[in-house]
Amino acid sequence: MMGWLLEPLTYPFMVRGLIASLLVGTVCAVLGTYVVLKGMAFFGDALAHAILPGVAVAYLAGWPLFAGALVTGIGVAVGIGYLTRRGRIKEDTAIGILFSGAFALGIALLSTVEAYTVDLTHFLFGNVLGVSPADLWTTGALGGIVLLLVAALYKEFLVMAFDPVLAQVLRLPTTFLHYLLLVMLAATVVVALQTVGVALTVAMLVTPAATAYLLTRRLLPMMALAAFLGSFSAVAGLSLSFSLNVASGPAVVLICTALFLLALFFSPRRGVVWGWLRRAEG
Amino acid sequence: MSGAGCEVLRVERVTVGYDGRPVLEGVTFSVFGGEQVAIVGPNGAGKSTLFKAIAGLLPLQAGRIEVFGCEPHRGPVEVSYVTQRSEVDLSFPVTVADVVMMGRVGRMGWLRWPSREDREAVRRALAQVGMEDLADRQIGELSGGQQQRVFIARALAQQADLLLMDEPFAGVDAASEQAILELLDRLRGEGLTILLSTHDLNLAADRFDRILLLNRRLIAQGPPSEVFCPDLLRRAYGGQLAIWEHERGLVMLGDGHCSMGEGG
Repeated sequence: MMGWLLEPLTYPFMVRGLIASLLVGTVCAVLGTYVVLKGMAFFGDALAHAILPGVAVAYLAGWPLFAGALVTGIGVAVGIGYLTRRGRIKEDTAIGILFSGAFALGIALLSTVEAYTVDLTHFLFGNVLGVSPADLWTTGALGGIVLLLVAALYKEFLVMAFDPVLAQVLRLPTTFLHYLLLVMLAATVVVALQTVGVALTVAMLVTPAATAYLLTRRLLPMMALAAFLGSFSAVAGLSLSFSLNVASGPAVVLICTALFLLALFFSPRRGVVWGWLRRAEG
Repeated sequence: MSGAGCEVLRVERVTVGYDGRPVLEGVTFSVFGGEQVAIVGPNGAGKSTLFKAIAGLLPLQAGRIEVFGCEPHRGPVEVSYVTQRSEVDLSFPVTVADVVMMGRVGRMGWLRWPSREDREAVRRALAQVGMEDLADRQIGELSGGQQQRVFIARALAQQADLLLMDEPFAGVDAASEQAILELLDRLRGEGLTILLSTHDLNLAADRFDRILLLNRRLIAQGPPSEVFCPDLLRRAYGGQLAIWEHERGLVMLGDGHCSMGEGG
């Protein structure tokens, strides 16, 4: 058992991959708490896909991928926020338009490269074992900033998420906080890009947070449990992918999903099974 | 109380509405320290719109609204507001105490966690609405009336100069209605200024110092004995109200008695 866990640690790329996964699992799950509570899953998924053109441009020009991804992510997040705030079109429509347009642009850009399928696969599904020490520093810095902001603005974001009307009555800067949350979400998506890729990022945002939602009744424990579940899934998934020779991103996501299903059926308060038992008794 | 009698709220020739279409036009009135004022009027009269304007949630199309503290300012936000039907997600992972603590966020300031004073204010606010035993319940586990009392406690925890309550009795069970009425009596003793809207004309007549009769404009204001006369009521309610002179006085049936429609 210990051998199964410790053997991968003899490879430096594996250690870097594990640290990156831990970071991603934690940051995504903590911010994912708001994504779940505010019903922003589609937004998160769209954001993850929409950063592809920025990544592609940075990749083709030889710039750091993070920079390209972050700029596009923030641009798209603010763009969607702007379109819906003006009330011209419904939010999910705005998201659908921007997301598919940007995604298509990214693939078009990447398709100009010869070895395009390999690169595209890495962007779509992640390449956690290819994390360089520089990548790791960037991931750590971005993730750290996001976590610091979540902690520093905890009570303000809580009021915004629970009761936007109260936030206005209390004269909180609601527009600023709204856009700040979108930018933090963009940064989180960028952090997750390398580990699980564009296509599976939404799972890291939503699934651990949803599992924690089933098991807790206050926001802070929900965040803590989500962070634990996210980082546990990341490490377990990576180890599993090493020993079973499965792609790492999908392995991580599948563990998240399995934990969610367990909670769905067996959660003491909201679980399906206890619901059946209560009904059978009653 | 030191501030009794001074002007707490001044609404001057206010026109306000949505998307440039006015709901209320040219409304002028003042509320004084320690007063309990009831706003009555038919559905769509603009009662909720008026509250939103006073709470600073709607830009005014014309006129101005000023809230003066009677004491040197008690806090950064002078108005607390209990909305008619809170549009919050009741499955949200917060306890009753967490919800009441949200009322303190405006006073705490950035980068601060709740102090002992904040926790004490939350405990006191919950005690005032008789909900201290349920402080650790998840908000969605309470009945509608209990939830309403929690939102009132949250407004009290804000310790504002002026408390706005939009239809606090709508859809509330008898026990909660009783608790809210007792609270209003106690707050009268403490000198808190309250502006409340209701469908229940009898309750407004029995319990309040002053009535504002509203329908798109301010039809009348004054003590219940002056405002609740058939002439004025007919001007506000038109055909929606049945009025007859009873031997013991005036008996009134507002539209809210027959159906619980959308409040205006």
